[in-house]
Amino acid sequence: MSRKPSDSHIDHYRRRFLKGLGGAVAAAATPGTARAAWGGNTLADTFADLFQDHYQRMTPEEIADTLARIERKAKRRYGTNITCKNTPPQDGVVYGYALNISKCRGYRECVSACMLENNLSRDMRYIQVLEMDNGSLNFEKADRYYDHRTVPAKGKYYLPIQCMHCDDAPCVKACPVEATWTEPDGIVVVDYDWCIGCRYCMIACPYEARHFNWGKPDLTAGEINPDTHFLGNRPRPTGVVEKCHFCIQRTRENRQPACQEACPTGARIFGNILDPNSEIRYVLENKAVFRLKEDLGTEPKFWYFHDN
Amino acid sequence: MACIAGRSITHAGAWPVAFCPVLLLAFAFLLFTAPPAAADDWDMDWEDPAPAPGYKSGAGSTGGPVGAEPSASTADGSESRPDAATGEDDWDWDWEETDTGPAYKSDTTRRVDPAAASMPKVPRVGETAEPDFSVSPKSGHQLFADVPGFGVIPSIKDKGMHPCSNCHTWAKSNLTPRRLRVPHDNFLLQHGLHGKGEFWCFTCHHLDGAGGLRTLEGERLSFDDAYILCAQCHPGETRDWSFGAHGKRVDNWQGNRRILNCTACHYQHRPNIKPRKAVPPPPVRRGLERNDRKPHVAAPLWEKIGARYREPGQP
Repeated sequence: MSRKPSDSHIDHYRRRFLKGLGGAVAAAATPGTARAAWGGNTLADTFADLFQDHYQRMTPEEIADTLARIERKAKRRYGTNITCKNTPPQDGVVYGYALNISKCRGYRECVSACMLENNLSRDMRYIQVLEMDNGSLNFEKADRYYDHRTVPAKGKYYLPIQCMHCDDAPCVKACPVEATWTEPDGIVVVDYDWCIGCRYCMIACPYEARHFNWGKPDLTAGEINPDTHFLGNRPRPTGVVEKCHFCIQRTRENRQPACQEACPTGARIFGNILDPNSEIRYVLENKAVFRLKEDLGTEPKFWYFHDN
Repeated sequence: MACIAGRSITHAGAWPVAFCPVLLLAFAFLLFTAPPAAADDWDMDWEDPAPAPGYKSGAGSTGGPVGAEPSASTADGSESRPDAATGEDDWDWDWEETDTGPAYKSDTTRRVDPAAASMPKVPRVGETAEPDFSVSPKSGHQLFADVPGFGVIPSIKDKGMHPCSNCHTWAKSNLTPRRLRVPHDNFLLQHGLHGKGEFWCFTCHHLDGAGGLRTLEGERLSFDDAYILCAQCHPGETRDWSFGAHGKRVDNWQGNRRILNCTACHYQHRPNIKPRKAVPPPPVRRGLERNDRKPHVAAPLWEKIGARYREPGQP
């Protein structure tokens, strides 16, 4: 598995020349200062979007320009000032997740917090909490729309599903344009600007963890979380695939993901699986853990365990 | 369409055709001659599908179920399923159930609203202790020297919730275990042996008016060291808690480990966690409608056919 930025046959000189040409055209044709010329976007930004390279091939200067452009576009689109970051991965860190299904009670607090934190369209959820009969693990009979008066319901248990961040992710292999890849810290991320929306990755994912923006994300200005990351929760365009990214804007700054912070029962444990003193390592070494669909060989980094 | 078409062509390696300067200038010319679209049409690449009649875009952050049957909703808006209405849950607790849990706040820092802090807090029996994030955490007890270091977040001292010392500074305590009556009748001790209340006040508390904690061996403890008291009978849970497999770590995943005390989640006099209402279920995808609850879809075929021959009113 290659985690290096992939080389490309793209002629960088030609691309830079044409990009400069586009900027020159924009500068020559736009009267006065930059203003909304097309689609609520300036022409220079439109051209810069057109020539934006793959995230792993961009130089630091290009990334800085792109982040500034993302902030400008969000300001035009939603009227809010966001901060788009590019926090790099930390050395010696591979994230893992463990979830105690004895403690999960199906409150769906994680689902709601994830939606609020990650600027999801309001008809999209990264986390599906499956309600299943005790003693069974039948996904066909799982109910993700349960709505009881109080939870947990009698005879049921709850199994939240989200992106497992597989170490050998089939979605990454399925992507025809390499718009999704595994970061060095183990997070499977998507470059939303490089995604062509073919949805092959959704078919390849065995966990139903990828979601498609069928329409414009259903967000209003007051609901925007201004703390964003390029590979994470920045505002998404229509027609791209997105997924859980372990709250990359938080975890790369040594904060817990939003689902862990919101969980009222303490069922969720997040940490560095390379650190022998971390909580997740204690769980993996001392608890009876299992992974979903482990036989597929995708090596998910999301474990389930139970008390006793 | 321009962005996506351009990128897919770049992967096909057709650079001379795609980005020929002549074509580019012609394209720029077209950009200017085209009328400007709406200001909010930021992503001009794709067309929005027309929303289906069942979809309400103003569903808000709660995102209620789309296309729920009116008969399934009661007057107060709480949807009840048939199995939930008839099935009896095994939680036979008699006090009120809270409908909302701790609300998620996406703030980076936990701030204390000064107006809310100055208001007198109305205590309610059964509340868990509220963690006090403004105070530095208390480092773990020396009994936990072999585990990775941690700090326990203290709780906000709430004297009003258990006003024992209002009277028991001067009133003599009756040491006999008994069923509590007036003026103790609002107090419920359901700790130990499946909620039957095998414990008595002085299993864990001092006799004197301060009402502090004491271990079974008589060692006095502060309320912030309550986990040591819990460890006497729950060593497995406490071990898991100290290593991080039980309980909750706040704010960070590496570095200084700050964890919540046992009493932040378990009300100490009745440690079972109360069931409550969940966040509303997710809506289905935009433009679709949930059909798993429609009877003509969900019912088996023989029931649907049998319904034609059934007398009205018969089950």
